[in-house]
Amino acid sequence: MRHTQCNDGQSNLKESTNHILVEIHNLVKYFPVRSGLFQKITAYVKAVDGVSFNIKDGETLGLVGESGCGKTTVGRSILRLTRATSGEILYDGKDILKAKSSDLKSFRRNMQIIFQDPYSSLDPRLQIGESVGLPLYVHGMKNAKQRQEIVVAMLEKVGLKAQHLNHYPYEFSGGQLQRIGIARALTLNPKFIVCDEPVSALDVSIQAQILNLLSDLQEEFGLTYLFIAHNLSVVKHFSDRVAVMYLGKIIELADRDEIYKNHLHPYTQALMSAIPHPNPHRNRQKRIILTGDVPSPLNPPAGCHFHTRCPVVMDVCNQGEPEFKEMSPGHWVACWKVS
Amino acid sequence: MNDPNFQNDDLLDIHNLKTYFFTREGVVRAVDGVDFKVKVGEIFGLVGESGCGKSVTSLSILRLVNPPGRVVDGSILFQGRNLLELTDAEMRQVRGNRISMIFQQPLPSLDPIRPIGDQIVEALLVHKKMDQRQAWKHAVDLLNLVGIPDASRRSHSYPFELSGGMAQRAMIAIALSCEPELLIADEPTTALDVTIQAQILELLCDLRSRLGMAIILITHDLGVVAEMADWVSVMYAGRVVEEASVNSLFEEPLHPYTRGLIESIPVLDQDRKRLNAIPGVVCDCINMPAGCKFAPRCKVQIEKNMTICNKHEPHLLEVSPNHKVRCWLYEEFSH
Repeated sequence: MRHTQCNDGQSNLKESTNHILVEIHNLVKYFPVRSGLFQKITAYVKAVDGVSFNIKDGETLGLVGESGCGKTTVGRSILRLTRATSGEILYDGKDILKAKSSDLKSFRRNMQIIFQDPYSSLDPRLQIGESVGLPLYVHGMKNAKQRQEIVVAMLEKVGLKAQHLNHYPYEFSGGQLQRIGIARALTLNPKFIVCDEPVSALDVSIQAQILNLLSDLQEEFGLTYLFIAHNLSVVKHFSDRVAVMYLGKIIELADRDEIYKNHLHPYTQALMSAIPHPNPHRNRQKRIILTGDVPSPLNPPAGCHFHTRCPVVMDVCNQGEPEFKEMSPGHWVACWKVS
Repeated sequence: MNDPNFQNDDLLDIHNLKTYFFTREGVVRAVDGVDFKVKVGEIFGLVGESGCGKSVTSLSILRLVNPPGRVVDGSILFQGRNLLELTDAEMRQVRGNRISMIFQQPLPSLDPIRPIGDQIVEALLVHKKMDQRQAWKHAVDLLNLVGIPDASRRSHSYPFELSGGMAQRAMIAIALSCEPELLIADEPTTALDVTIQAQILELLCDLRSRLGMAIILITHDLGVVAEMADWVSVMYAGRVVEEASVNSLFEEPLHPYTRGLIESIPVLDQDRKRLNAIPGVVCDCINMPAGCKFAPRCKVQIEKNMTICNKHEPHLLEVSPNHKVRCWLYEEFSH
């Protein structure tokens, strides 16, 4: 069937692991703030402010950061669910931001998204079979019988059964709904999936089931993931490389082991030490506790955005923005202290 | 106010607490025979997944369970007095004054149309018989205590002007206003970012040692429990399945559910290709299985083919001095 054919194609791709699938250059997304009688634009929320990275074929790039740092906006911009202000997003060498809406459909066939909240991301009035089959219909598979065959195959892949086809979302638990969301993302046999906080709304024991499912599917279909999350230990477990975002910028990017053992940016260090560890002996040591809150992206601090909370701040930090530099092969950092 | 016979250091002693919800679909046994004790000045962790009854337990302590829910059995001794037998007026003197509570979502829990200082003053006027000026001064001191910068100006802020972390601090200030002996913190950091969570946890630890109050910390996050708690109860389907000192629980988890929970979270300094997930989902709360409630998901039960698990429910047994567990695997210890 269709899926087995595509599998062979993808296993060939997987061998050439250095092929870059998604390439992002200087991505910027400003949201205008309007106020007054004539709704004039008075300011901009700088949600994403010059982000560059690339994702290799078959790898998982983790994108981690606190709420409001712009990680979700990056994910949505790649699929053009929000229109980026400027920058370049190349998928397989072709610029998505310049694509016409007719071409966009073929891009989106290869790129899908799994959302954070499984309850609100499925239409409550559609049966599961319809929801999961809808992408196929939109992309031109009009034969209802074939559609249903693929939907059943997909539901079985994610651990559900054919008998669930005619059920409605309210009949399922959060973990099951997330499985359905994953099945829907997979029906078109995409290469690239944006996972936007796929497990943060789920209970601990269900989280592990979904993470295992995602890695099984990656192996089986040769998928490439952009894994967005706020939980650094989940990201580290799941990703090949990790990018840390703070206020619209990537401040550190490295392989997962490197970022865990040799994190250079003071924000990454604070994030690492802030994670409560399920080991009572290890924990009660001194941790780095940042003071204050994340500043508003409406009016980010001058210079390095982190300098208002940084424990090792220097004079230079509030003057100029540090350059995003490669300190050792594959390990990029933007910090005055380090450079 | 204390019972003259109240001598030991058990601040709170819950025995066989049962809170049921009588719904049209059937009886939901949300809390079904929970026992635990909280000592003076102790941080007591109550861990479990959603629907295990940990929040209903805390609402039962404050007698805030609304119909169709009702506490049907058990006793809740607070400083030797059974809270379930107090009159409503007596209970109001306990609530907010001797026992107070903070919630997961700070913003919905605060009054949106009154400044936060005003909301702290309210509790002081009711319980502490202060005049307005003293109360405001005390409110500003409390906001200082919980680490809100520029507290005298901030006391006039409305909740919408505060960030999530600040709102949580304000709610803690309200909860602390009458210097309670017991603070119930229901998922106090779940809605917050990691770096803000670290701040709030440190604040709670610091307040505990400064004010000497006990804290019941309700959470699903084993990391938070390991970090904060002295003593831990793990709940599953309305029951305590394991209770131990924090070291004993994490060094030697006995119940298959506790072990499963610990193994299913990714840990920074370990590399596991796959997580050991607990199969299945939490059982239906109306049609509970007859025997051990965890048996249908229990790997040990399936491997060892223990038929007793599906027939009879095990008791909460003291396996060692600091460790109790509710599982048929350990039943031999009792004989």
